[in-house]
Amino acid sequence: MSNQKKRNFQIEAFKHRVVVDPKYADKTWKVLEHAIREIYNHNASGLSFEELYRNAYNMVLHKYGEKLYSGLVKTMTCHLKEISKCIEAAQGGMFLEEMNKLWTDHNKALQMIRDILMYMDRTYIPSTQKTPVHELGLNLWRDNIIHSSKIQTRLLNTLLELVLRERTGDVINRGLMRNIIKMLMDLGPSVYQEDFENPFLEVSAEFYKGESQKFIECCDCGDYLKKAERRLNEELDRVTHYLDARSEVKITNVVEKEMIANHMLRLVHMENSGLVNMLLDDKYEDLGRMYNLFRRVANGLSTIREVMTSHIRETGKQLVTDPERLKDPVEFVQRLLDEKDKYDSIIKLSFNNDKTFQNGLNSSFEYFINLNTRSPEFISLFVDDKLRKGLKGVSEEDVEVILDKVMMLFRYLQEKDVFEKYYKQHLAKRLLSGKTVSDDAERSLIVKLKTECGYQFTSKLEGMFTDMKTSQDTMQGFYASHPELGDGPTLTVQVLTTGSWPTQPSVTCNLPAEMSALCEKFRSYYLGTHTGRRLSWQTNMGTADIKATFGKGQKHELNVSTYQMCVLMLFNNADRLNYKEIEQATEIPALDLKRCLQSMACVKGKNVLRKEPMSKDICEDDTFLVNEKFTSKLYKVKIGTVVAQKESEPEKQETRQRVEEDRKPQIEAAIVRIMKSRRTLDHNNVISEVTKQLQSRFLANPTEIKKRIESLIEREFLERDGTDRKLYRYLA
Amino acid sequence: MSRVFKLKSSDNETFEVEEAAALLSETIKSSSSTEITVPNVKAEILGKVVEWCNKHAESEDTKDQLIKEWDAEFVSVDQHVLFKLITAADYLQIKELVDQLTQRVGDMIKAKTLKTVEMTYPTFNVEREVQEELKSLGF
Repeated sequence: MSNQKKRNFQIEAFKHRVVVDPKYADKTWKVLEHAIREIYNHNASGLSFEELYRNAYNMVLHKYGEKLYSGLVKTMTCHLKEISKCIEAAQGGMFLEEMNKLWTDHNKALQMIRDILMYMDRTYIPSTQKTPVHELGLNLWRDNIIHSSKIQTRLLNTLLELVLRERTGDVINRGLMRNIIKMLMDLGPSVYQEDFENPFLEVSAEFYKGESQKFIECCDCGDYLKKAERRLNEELDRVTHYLDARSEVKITNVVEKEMIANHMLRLVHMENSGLVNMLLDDKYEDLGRMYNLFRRVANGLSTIREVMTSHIRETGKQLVTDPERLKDPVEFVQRLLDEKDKYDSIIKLSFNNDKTFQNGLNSSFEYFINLNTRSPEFISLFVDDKLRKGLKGVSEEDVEVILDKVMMLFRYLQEKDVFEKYYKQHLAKRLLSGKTVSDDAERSLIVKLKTECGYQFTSKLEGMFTDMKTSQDTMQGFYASHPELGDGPTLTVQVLTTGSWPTQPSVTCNLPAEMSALCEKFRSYYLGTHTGRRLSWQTNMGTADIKATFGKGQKHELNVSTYQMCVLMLFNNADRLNYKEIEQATEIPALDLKRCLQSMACVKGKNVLRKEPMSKDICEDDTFLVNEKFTSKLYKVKIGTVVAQKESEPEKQETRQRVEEDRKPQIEAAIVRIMKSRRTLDHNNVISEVTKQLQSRFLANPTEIKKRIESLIEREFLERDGTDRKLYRYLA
Repeated sequence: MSRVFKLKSSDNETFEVEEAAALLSETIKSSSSTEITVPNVKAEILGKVVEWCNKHAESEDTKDQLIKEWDAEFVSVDQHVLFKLITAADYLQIKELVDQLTQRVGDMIKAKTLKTVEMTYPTFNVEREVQEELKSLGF
């Protein structure tokens, strides 16, 4: 251990001129004590600052700091004890007033005391680590006034009572409250919290517990929420006016818990006024209020969302399974769009465009739309209706809006390939009968489908449009090279590429002589320029305009189907024909023939033929004559346009079968694609990969996938692994 | 309009000081009147204090090299004057001035140290003592 040599250097002692009188300290203190009292008695104006400052300075310099400090503590404590009695004596409303007044006085006095004792504050106190004067003053106030046994409880109770009165509607002196609360805050955060805030929060919780219980028994949901909102705003207001800003979040938590969180489920499910009722009645304001209040509490929004989602699913399910609704496809789809619009509005106006709610809405729609297997067909029929006539006179932007809404429904479909099939059928009918309202609208929708599903989906549809255009050019070329035909019947041919158009079985039909000659000419012309192709006439899809003269000379132009034309032309050579004769002559298939005759003989306003007997149905024994008495206000009469209709049951089965058939090669193609890249893969993974790949077109059935795998194994595209029967291998 | 403060020395001489300079003193800041009597401080000393305050009121940047040089000049006075200045600055609670003055005292002590020791103990060799001390500590 080394010796630390102490080096004491002495500076010459500084000699102070003032005489050191042993009684000096007492005398000096007495002066200061007197001054402090005078300050408290509002008599400060008679005092000299510098004299007092000098006295305090001298005491500290002469090492009497301790005496000065303890004297100060004693004097202030004594004074505050007297003050305490004054406050205790105050009656009723004067209690807070008195306390406020005396607190203000105390602060003023403290400032002055601190000024004259500043020298001690800056030198003696730091070195002895005693409490500085100002802080000392606050602590003494706290200990002798606030925490005095006669005052502490009374103060808290007075404050809480004022809050209660204000909550029950009275007007209180907010300025006074603010000053008192500020006093507590100045005395330190723990004073504010323990002597006010914590009890305040407890009492508030009790209050709101009671109030919420009372309200929920007698109010409906909307009213309750209004009241809750009002109370929250009141509390915010209260904090702004006379509480510590940091209390805001605490008191709002209390209100949220007592008024909202504790009654959340009861409110949402309230009979006749709960969430479901608000949704049904489009109560935007109430819903918005519910959203804003519930978002403050845990699980609030998810509760709303769940109830909304299951409600939409329920109503949606009822919608799509209601047999009444299913009678009119266009109405059906319109109803779906209306539902979607309704909820879009609600989410926009009341739920703040919340994405999670949008998602809930989308998943609900996806769920129930696919519950009805005819949804794809109906949506296509809706589009068909719009493109035929519904969009007539509608502005371009509005057209886009409607098509976008349709696309949105389309996205929800799981069986998009079914939609494609129907859409193709309906489009074909529209194009061939020339019944589309707007070419631009048609193309616009194709573009949207392409963006959504890819080129493959729409390539055939586009092919149909191309065929129509090409056919126009072909017709021009035909008539240009056969000018002699200008006088005869005008033929318009649409040449349809087989792959692009919906497949039709080939039909028989005997065309009238004039027509068949013309058609042959066209056939040779066409095959002349396009060798290697085969043409077959689709007589079930054509139309004709024929001029007819009736009994009294009334002339009309009739717009009919090709079948109808064949039948009518027969009457140029005969006055009456029976069913069998017509059937033989035209060779039109029975079902179509019956429909065709019915539309001409049994429909009011279109009955260009008369039938004997006059029954509604066509029987094999019926005889037909031209209806000489036929009249119509219009010159041009439309009979039997080939309109797209909701399929009958057998037709529906047929289409479904075709869809299933079409799916088989698609599944196989997917399997081969996957196996080619993976080489070996187990059964379950094949199923999941295939399903995923085909998801955008349809929902693949695992049983079907299994069958396709078997088929591919048979055809030696794949093989099973020798040891593991669940493993497949690609055979190049 | 800046106020003018009157500082009176113990021998009844009055110095007029502009507000900016006067408020460097905490005591004057707290005072309710503009006239302060500084006890036990003669005019000569009080005058120097006022001079310091005026200089430091002009330029606020005490890190300025010129000010530093001026300050160094200012505190280069003998011990007696120095202690009187400290008393005045202490009473008036001018922290910066007190710090500078006491720093000077410290420097003086440092300077005195070796000389005083060697004067008192002629055979004492400070350097040798230090080296032996270091050796015993292991350096």
